[in-house]
Amino acid sequence: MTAIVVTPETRAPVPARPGGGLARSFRAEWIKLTRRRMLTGTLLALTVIAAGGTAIGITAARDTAPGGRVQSPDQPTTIAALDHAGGGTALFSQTMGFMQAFLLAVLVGAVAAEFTRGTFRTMLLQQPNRARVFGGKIAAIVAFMAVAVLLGEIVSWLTSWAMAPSQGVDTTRWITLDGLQAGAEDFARAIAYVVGTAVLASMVGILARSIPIGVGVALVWAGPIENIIGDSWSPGPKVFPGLLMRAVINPGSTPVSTGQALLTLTGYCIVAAAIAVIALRRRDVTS
Amino acid sequence: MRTLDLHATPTTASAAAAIVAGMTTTTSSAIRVEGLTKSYGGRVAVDSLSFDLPRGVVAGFIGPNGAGKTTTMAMLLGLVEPSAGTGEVLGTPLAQPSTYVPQVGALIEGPALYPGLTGAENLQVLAAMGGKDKANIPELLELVGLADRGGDRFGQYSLGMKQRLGIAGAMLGEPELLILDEPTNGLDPIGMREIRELIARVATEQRTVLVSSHLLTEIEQVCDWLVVIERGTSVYAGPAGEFLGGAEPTVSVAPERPADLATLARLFAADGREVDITPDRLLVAVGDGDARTVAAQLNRVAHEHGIVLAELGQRHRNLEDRYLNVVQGGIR
Repeated sequence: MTAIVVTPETRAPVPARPGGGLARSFRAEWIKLTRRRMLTGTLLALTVIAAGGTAIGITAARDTAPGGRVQSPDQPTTIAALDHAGGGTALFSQTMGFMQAFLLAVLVGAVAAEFTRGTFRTMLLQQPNRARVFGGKIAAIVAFMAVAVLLGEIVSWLTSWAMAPSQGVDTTRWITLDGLQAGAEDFARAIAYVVGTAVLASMVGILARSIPIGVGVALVWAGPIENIIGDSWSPGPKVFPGLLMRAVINPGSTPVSTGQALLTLTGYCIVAAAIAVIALRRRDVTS
Repeated sequence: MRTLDLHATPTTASAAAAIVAGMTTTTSSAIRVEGLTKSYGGRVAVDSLSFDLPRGVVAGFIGPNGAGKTTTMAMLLGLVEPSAGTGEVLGTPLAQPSTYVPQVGALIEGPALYPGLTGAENLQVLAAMGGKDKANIPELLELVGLADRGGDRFGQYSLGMKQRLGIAGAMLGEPELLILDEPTNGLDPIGMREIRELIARVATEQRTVLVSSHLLTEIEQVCDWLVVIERGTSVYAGPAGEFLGGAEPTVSVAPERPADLATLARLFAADGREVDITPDRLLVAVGDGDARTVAAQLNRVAHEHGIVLAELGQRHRNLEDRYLNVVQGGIR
């Protein structure tokens, strides 16, 4: 018998496109986020929320109170606060503060759904690096939300500007360099708020791997637990992530300064990201 | 008669076509696992599984429910970490899935895609995630029979359509190895035939396919290699023809009373014959003899022991006969 070495003519696989796993995961998520239905729905929702929240805020504004920034997301702002340079975007920040639980629930749900639907498993069959799959996804969501926040801020400013005369709010300082600077600061605060929420929500979603459990835990924590304990326990505002984020988005609403809140939140985010990565790497993907 | 040792695992695999041609071959393996084990607490899902899959074959991966097929595939794809054992996929150790998974297309545990996205959008997402060219997405949709439904949402698809889209996703980037877990689930007979033809077409391109299915007739028609597992352990891995006993004829024997089946099997085995037991009949290998002569001898043995035969005839073994015999611990 003749010994023959057979080397099958296997097809050369088509080489992957350049770009790391993180960039590819970002692109994949971006395709989902920027499809027409998603864009239409997001635009509609943020217009309703930004314009509606602002309209309610400006209608409920009181005419007597100390000037300055918005005091708390659950308190109506003042005419004096709206007269300031940052008055055009103050109600946007207040609305964002109100959206905290909703935002958390949406993000936890989006992450947990990857497990319940089995799409995380499907994505790993294309890109086996688990941390990169999730890192790219979260980065894309944050980038998308940054654009949404910017549009929401513009809608809110326009709504405030249109309704200001009805409440006797002076808008002359809104269209100044100080007004622009205040708007930019509010935008930066909103982005920090979104990033913090996204990282913490990712950890919860990854650990829970279930939409009802993840969303339930997030809502119970961000709602009753943080607010009830935070009201009665003085260190609460300094340690609870939800209250720290409120300090970022609505400065002055808690005794914690923005710098202190950002520093503590950064630490929380590093720990949360580490826990999420460890959980992703160690656990088998069986669903 | 050549007796097949069902517990042996070939250590030097070769392309089935070459074996059929009677050539000694040396090829690298598409998949090679040695002692692969997965335990969940005290439960062992895969137990020291070893097999070797040559490149370029279409291999059927068969075993009863819960035998560990999906867990094995998940370990090969880096989704589940083995508790013990070693292995390679496309020449790369199992511990480095990032290196070989981009060259593998897979569908495992059913198609899991985004319900709100259309079929075409889902494939675009997969292509982006894998860094693969999305230009051939229309071609893939055409290939799996979804050309006119690519614009519909995945959530609106029937199970069969979802399955087809999952297969299209697995074929993105023209992978060197395809791993398909129950690809015909939910498909109607026409759909099954289309998937079978699709796999056969892939096979002509010299790609390797590992496909699990409960539908043994599907496997039999398309696979030239078999990996049979039971309770997490390999009971056979090698050319399909060898598992079936080649074209060797058998004599099919059915007693009048089904209760006599086991007795009859023992009598024939004691007579030195290789016997496969199926639920309603025995398949006795003819070996070097003549089928008519063997049938007469079997009839005589049955008659001597007071067993009346309701059926006696020549028949070729099929995969189902052999599989049931192996997994149900039949007599050889």
